[in-house]
Amino acid sequence: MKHLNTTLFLLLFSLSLFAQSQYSGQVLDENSQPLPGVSILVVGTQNGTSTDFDGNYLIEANEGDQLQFSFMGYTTQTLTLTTQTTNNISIDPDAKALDEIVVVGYGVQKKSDLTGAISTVKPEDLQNKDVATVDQALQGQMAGVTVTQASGTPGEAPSVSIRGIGTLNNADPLYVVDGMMVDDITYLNARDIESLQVLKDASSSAIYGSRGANGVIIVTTKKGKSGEGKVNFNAYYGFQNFAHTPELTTASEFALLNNEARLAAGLDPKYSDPSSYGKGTDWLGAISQKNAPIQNYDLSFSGGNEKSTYFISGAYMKQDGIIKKSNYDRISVRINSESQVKSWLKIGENLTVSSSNQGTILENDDWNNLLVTPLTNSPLQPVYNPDGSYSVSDNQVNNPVAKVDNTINNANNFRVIGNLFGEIEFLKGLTFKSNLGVQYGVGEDDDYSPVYYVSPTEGNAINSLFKGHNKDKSIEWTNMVNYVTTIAEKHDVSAIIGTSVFMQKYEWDGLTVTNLPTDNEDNRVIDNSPNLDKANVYGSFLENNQLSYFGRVNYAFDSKYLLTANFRADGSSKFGDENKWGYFPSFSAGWKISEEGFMENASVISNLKFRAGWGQIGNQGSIPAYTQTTLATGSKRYVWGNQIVSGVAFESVGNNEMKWETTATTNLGLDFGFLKGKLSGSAEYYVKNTTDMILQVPVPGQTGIESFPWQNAGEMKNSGIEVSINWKDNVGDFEYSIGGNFTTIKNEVVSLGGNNEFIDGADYRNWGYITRTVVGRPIANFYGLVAEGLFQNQTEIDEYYANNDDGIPSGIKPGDVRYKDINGDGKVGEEDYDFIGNPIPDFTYAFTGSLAYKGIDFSFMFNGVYGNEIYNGTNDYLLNSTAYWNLSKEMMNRWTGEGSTNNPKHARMNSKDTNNSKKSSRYIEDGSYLRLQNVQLGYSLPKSLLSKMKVDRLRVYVSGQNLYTFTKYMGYDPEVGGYGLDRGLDRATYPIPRTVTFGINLGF
Amino acid sequence: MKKTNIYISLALVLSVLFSSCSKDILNTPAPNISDESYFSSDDAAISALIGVYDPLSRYESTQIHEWMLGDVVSDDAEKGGEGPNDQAYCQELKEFRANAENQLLTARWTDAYIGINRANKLIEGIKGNDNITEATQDIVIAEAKFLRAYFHFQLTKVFGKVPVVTKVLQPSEFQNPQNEITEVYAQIEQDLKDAASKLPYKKDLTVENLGRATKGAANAMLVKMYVFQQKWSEAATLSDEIINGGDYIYSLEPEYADIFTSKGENGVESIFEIQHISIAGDGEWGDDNEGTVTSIFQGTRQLYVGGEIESSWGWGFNLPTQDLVDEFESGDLRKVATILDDHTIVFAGTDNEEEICTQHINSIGYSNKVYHSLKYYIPASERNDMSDSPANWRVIRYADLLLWNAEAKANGGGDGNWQTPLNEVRNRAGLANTISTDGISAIAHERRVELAMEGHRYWDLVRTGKAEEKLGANGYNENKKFLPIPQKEMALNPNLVQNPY
Repeated sequence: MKHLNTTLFLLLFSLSLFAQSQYSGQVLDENSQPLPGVSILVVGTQNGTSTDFDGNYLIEANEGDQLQFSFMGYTTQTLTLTTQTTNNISIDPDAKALDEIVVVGYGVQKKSDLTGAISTVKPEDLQNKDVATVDQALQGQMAGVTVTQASGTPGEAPSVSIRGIGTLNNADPLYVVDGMMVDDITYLNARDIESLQVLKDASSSAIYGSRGANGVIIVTTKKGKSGEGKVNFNAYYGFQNFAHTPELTTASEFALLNNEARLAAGLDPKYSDPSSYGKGTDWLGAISQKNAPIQNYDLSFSGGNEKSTYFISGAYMKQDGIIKKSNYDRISVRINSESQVKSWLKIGENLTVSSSNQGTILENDDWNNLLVTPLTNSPLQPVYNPDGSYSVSDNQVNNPVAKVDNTINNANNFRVIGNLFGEIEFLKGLTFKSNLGVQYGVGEDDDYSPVYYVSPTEGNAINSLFKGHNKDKSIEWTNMVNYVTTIAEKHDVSAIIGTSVFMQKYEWDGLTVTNLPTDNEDNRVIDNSPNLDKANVYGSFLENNQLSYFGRVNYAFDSKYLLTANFRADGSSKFGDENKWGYFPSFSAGWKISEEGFMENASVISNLKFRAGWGQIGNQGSIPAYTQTTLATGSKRYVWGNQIVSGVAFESVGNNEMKWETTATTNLGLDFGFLKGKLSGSAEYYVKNTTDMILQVPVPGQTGIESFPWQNAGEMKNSGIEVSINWKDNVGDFEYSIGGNFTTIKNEVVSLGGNNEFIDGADYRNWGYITRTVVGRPIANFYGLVAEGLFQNQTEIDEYYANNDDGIPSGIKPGDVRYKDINGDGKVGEEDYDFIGNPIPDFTYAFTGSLAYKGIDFSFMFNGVYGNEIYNGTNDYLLNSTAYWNLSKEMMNRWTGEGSTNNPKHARMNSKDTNNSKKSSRYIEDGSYLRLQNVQLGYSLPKSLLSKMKVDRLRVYVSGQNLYTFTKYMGYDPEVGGYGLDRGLDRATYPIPRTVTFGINLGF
Repeated sequence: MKKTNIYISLALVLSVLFSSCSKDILNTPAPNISDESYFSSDDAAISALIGVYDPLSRYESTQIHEWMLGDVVSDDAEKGGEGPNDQAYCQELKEFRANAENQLLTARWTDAYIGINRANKLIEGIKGNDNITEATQDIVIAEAKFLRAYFHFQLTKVFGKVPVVTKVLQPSEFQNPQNEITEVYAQIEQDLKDAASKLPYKKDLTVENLGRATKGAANAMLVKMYVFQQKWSEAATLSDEIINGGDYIYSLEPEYADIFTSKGENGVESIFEIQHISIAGDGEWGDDNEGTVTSIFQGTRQLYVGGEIESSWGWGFNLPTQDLVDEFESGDLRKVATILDDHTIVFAGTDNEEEICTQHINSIGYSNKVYHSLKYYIPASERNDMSDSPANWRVIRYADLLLWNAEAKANGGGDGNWQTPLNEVRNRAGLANTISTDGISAIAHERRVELAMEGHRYWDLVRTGKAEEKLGANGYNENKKFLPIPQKEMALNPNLVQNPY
């Protein structure tokens, strides 16, 4: 870098040697506000500059030269220089405007020329959210892009899905960062992002072929700009706390309910005076960290001249968890530069190095979940015994404090991601571009279990150290030729052909050793174990290669009629010889109605465009690397001669006939702008059909096939409407904008292949599978008994069981849950199961607003989902009639006599209950919510003051995340994620904290 | 650049573009070995054989199901645990109201067929395979057949009619129907006979092979099959052969209490055991280690320590009933080796001494007095991890064989002298020779106390036709003889016929 800087300095220095006059002035926008960043070029030379933060410019030129002022979205103006050396100029927005440049697959396009469904997020909308990862900041930003932060564990990336669930398997989108395909963007710092686009339909993402089957998120990071060097520094520091926790009974209330339960079961009550116990132990409080700090610092340098630009940034972020022992920190460095080496040759590179550490606790687990034990442990139990040792609960719940104290789970990640590209311009309009990208990531899991003792069943008698390693290496090389031309002034044609090679190798291994002589933190190394020969080890690798050919043609006639055609051939190593290749075409067209002559008089309408597209994409991402043959799996262990012996088994059967899963999308879209663009927006309708869906088809158990064979079997349909609208205006100095987006998702399983009637998913505790997927319904609907109400009296019970030849099951009394007897046999069983809820929302929505007045700015965002259900797994304990575990406050409304309540959640207390906790709609809750996701208030110091300090920009702000959620959901957080067929089941995950941060943005 | 140069470079670029990418990169060989090339050596055959043994010790289908079905569902025990909802599927079985989604049944079905398929894959892979020595072929196929028979029995005992699978199924055979029970037993008998003809005697097993199937195990298993089918004459003849035959050399452990200690494991009385071992600090659970959860399931929840009640290592399942306790004759040494009462001291005088507490049982709602079982209770020093016990599951021990011998003879098989084998068992327990003249009921009584809490009682009641008499009050009737075939299997194979349950 040092060399580069020296070169730049010399270049700049040499420019000033010519004897020219200095011309200066200020560039103003249509509202007479200074416009920073306007490029100014002396026509016919390489001499240029750009305006500073106050819109001022200074350039060396000669009388008679022409100065060209250009700025994205504004008309270009030309000024012929006279003897007057100070020239103020105002430039106006481009009438055709909205003409942002949008990054599309392997290229850029004017937004007005797009024919596919592409959403854009402005970088400032990402940067005004103080969250740890970029994905988190995407939440609610775009119609059709669903971001679900299932776990609030520091450093945990949310899941992103574009246009519903296109497959039963992995539905993660592809990320393309500066031309590099990556699986996630957790390594990026939001402030390094220059632009972010989401390709939603097949016609726009098809150019990425199979890897883009679930949509593509294209990120372009900041680059240096020609002109004076810039230094930017940003920092924030904030505090996080629980946003919401389930409301529980106090110690007094719990003792009361427990007594009631025991009495109902004919047992002696345990507590003589429940009211004497007061509030009791706050177990969650005991493991949580109040005002957990979150902090981020980033510093960047950028600059360049007409031929070369550079950008260097470094960032450090650290987030402590709201629960002890969870934390995340990341340090990252980015460098990029670009040089016009020759008039026909441009080269450049991007390099990111990032290192992160994450500490986690046990969450989302069926049995010893650290988000559940603090809820279920008895509030009557103190955390510690009087002698300071951990207390042992009387209800078999592990002491959460002991567990957290002895949790040491760390994951370290180191990644290097870089690419090098070169671009040769053979002729005007004919270029060749080659891009070589390399990713190398190493991860290490470093877990330690120290010795500790709570009780004979609780604790750890022998320490152990686990080290797990993984190494992910991939190389991608893309070559393409691009041709752009205009024929007879009205025919704009551009075409690309190219190839891409992708090779990935993923390796992993790990080992566990035990009996270290000491738990001392410094001595936690493998060599200290006395029984290295008994270490438990594992390791293997996989390879995944792809080869692709692609092409695209864009044609525009008179800037009114637009056509795009894509073709892609993908070869994948995952398929057998006969089926390696898949061929996927797509087409789309656009009509810029507002450009038509007959629209000339409709001055209200500044932009109106209709788009339509159809395309197919193949998908193979979610299937394992090797499914073609029947393979031996190791580590099948047994004991011979009192020693463990290890063998193999053939768990599945290979399928050499598997082929590409194909998704065909039809998209209709309308873009509009009214009142000179003050009101703008778009609406889309899409239908997405997935056929030959790759899934593991269940086979009868008598085959002995342990892992169901992969087959092309299912068919699924997603459709939806996406609308986004923005209004932007100003009243004098007062600027404001409001906007919103709205997305509907309709999912339907069309076929599960063969004669498969259903596939079950979401195995949970003693209930077994919670979801069932059948043809004709959305995937993964909750399936169980329908809890209709409560038996109010004995007569109701007698009538209910009248048809039951076994009579009334013992223990059923008034106040117990009454399940719908669907088959009318007087019994409660799986024959009475029905579909009791859908984890997929009817629609998701968000709205945003911003205000600015002089130096003050204010913005907010709400986002929400509507119409989905959640299966509240934790309520297996918290609504349990036995009062064995602590209960939800709700249970103070339990049934106490005929007519007291008919809400099945509020069943009577009974220590011997076996009826009320069946898998049923009793645990289904409305998952709708509306969340105040983000609020920010900032103040920028006046320029008059700053210019004295040689500072371009200084802004301070206060920001809040996840401030309030409107929801009826009783659990920690209604934002319950899911994967495949395991959706909407709340096992209790780490909730997203409420965060308040204070920050500063400084630029000079 | 000149035009010609441009075209030359463009042509170069394009040719690089379309030729550089060798299509070979799309062939990525798997790191795992495919079935086509796997069976290339004796070692490979042994490795795949271990794979067939592996499902024997599965957490669900063996470590808990054997005693849940054999003891809890019988009149010998209550379920226990932390309350009625703890392993509720077991309570449903006990009350004969299990449905076809009962998780125990689902696991039983799938695990047994996993074992069968692994055995078939192995047999097909090595039979007549030139890469594998004939001696290895013989022994490995014999063991695979023994295990295949064992797994089929696990199925037919629970479900009655089940599909017999003796080859790796092709898709067209995935939905084969059930076989008649007699056909299932015929295949089991054939497999056991084939196995017995090639397997070594236990005495010839080297130490490092202890736990593998033997000729004695195969023949004793065959005796059991005869007993279950009431083929008394065959049962008597074959059991006589094992009892009298010189090379089998099984005998009773002199001290009954030693059978369930580490000394008794694979000891003189042991005919076949499912092997477990526990590794210190392993930290895994269920099938991820080679220990058993039987011990922690059956361990006591509480102990008396210095007179105070404290939590203990155990979840308190499988609680012997008063009815079982009353079955023991006075002076029967087996009672204290089986039953733990409140304040019983275990491992007295050692570092592992503990005073048992049964108080928690009242708090979970058992109004009748119940006890704990000692047989899979392990000393504190062996409790390496919370789930991981080294206790082997005793599948067949010599006393069981002696009692089958007696039963076969009492039913008219062999020489009819049922008293001798019965008395051998009684004498070891410190009891005098039987004075009963009713062999059938004397043997039933003896089996109940000798084999108490070992997972046999329920099957004895069912096969001897006593289940309705003893368990009718819990809901047993003739329709309950075979349990429901898992709903999942019914849905995946429309040719299966559900049991009337």
